[in-house]
Amino acid sequence: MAKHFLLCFEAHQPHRLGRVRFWDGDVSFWESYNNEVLGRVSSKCYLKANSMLLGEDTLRGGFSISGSLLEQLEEAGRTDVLEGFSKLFDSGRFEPIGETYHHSLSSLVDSSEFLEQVGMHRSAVNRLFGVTPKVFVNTELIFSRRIIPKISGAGYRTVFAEGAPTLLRGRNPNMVYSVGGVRVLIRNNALSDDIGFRFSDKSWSEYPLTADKYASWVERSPGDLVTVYIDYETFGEHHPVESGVFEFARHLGRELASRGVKMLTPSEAAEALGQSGELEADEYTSWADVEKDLSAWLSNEMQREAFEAIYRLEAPVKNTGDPALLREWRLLTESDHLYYCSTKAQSAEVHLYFNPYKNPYTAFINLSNAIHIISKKVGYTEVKPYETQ
Amino acid sequence: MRYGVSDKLALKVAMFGWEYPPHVVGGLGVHSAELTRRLVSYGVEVDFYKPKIDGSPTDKHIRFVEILLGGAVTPDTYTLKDFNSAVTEYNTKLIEEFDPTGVSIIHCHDWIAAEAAVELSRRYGIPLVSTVHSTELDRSAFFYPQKWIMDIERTLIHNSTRVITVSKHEREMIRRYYGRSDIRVVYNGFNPLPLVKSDYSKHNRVVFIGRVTAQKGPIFLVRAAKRFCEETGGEVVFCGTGSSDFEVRAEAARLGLEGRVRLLGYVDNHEMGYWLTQSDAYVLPAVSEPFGITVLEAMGAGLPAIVSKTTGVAEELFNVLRFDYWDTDELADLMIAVTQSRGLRFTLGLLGRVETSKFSWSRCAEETYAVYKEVVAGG
Repeated sequence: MAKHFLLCFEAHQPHRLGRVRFWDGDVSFWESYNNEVLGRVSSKCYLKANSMLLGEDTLRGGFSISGSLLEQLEEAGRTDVLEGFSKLFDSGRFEPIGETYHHSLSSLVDSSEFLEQVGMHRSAVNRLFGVTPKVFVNTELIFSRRIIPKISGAGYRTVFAEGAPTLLRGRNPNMVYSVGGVRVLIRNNALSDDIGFRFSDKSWSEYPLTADKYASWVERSPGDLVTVYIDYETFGEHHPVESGVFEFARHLGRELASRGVKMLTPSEAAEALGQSGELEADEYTSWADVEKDLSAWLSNEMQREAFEAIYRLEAPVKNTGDPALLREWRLLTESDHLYYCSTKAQSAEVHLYFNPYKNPYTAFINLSNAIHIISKKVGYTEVKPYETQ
Repeated sequence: MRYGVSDKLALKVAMFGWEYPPHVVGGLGVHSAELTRRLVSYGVEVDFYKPKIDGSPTDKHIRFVEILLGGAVTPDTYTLKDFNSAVTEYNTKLIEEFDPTGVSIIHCHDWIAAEAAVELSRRYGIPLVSTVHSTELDRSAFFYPQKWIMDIERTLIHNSTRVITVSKHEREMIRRYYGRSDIRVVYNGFNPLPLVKSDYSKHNRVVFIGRVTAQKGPIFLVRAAKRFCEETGGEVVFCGTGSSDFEVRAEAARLGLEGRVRLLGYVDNHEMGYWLTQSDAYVLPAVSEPFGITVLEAMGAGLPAIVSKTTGVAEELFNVLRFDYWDTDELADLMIAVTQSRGLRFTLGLLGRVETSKFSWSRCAEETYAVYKEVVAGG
């Protein structure tokens, strides 16, 4: 029965695009809406959850906070939120997790961009919080053996992966595995989604979920370590405060402890537990949608076209040596832009929940116009970069 | 819903129409035929009243009562020499020639036969169902609605046991401008054009199909064409003709778009199919379009559709690009996007084509039949 529990949060907010026109001179971001979301999430989620975690000594875990969110918090002067994170890290009970600065899909591309964005993120975390991440999570838990060299190249020895059937192939998710010499902590998707998705669903057979009941599930899970990775916005944003999600978390540490289950930080988990063999990890997996693969970002023709066009601009943009242009381009690498272009009917509800335009086509047109604008700036106008015929 | 034999009612409907294939100007004639043929197959007896216009219908199982009008009647309603007196004569003769024997419902389509329908319903105590395919406000684009026609429409709407509209958009028009809110929405169906299918290659062209009248908003497409043509070197093709032809040509000339905005005039189904396969998108900037069957025909061919928010059919479609008809910058940007991106054309075209299957004439007929059943049951 599992004796260890690892609780991790992903905190991320993208730079959502405005209604970008084909003929615009610069890429415009949706300032008013981005600020509105940041303000709302800060007050309803980040501040309250930070203070809840700070006030409850029994809770331990990890945080991946994207560079996109960190800089938006800095720009908006939300020092209250940043200080909360800082105190959590100072307490030693929580530690930062490394990721790509722009929450990008750069791990899928054969270029130096991934290393650069991981480095940018490490510097930002270090500058703001005075700590250095020791474990890594790729954007939305995208994982495969193919990106292992990149992860080790960035100096990480431990990485998170979704407990997808195609990764585990029948093995127990509650164990630590290795792939190409890197430790792999497996997200238990059932126990994660119980909190992340189902917690406030009144039609769920287990509703209402209490910390007591949940801790008993963890205790009864076979294996060494149950890893739960959820959006930090689970608190107060995906589930409202009235749902009791804060109370749930507040009691979780004690309920686990009373059953002899110990909460760990990610590096404690990495150090304390042995590895139970090598995973093949030939296919890409992620925590997204039912498929748990890359299809949330790269399944339709629009997504593939835009993805290719974005990374085709990498070298021309970098060759200009223009930092403002590089930054403008990097904002387009945020994976959310492609996520909004999803047309998957099965997961439409989840995609549209996050989609600020409520429509994949508007999302795509804004993105592809933004790509066109950057193309023009680097002199790519002759070859329309997103016309792949 | 399917209606089996056990469910059949002994129902006789007197249908009051205007056009019927082979004589068709707009959606009304197609609707009349597709609906009536199916009702008959459900066991409904139909007497179809219509004016005698060139080319009589050949449908068996439907009893046509063709009213012979004295004045000159041509196949085109809108160029009828003395349209007003033809309407008056049609109504007078309908009342004279109507046979009420066994009729359980009078079903009137639009306003043209409305005066007769209301009078006959009152005289014989037969419940009246009316379908509003469009109103005078739609047809005039709110610009010069004729009061006498609106008065007839209002009388029809308020004297019907049930009123059916072809979209929620039209239901809202009736609520707002004619003051009745208990309206049933029954969408039109459509028949995919056989063998017409987009291959998603780039044509740098968008196509408008329909009557070139203020209602369809062609002028907004010409204005959007300015930016579209400048940015892409593309062209805009109008398939159709109508009272706004001159205005469209003049605006194109003013904007320096002669040669880039082309008016082909009337095109038959065959030629329309050709242009659908030779374009990157179908555009309908209608000011107020109750339904828009051509939107479905274009989408059924796999073509992305760019449609105004005031087009009825779009309210039920997810895989279309919608815009405010007056927002020509938005329209231009959407047109540029579809011509520039194969990914957008392919995704939107494919999913749009699949989505059109939710509209069918069978569904339309079944829902209309359900309304009849309610009426006969006294509901």
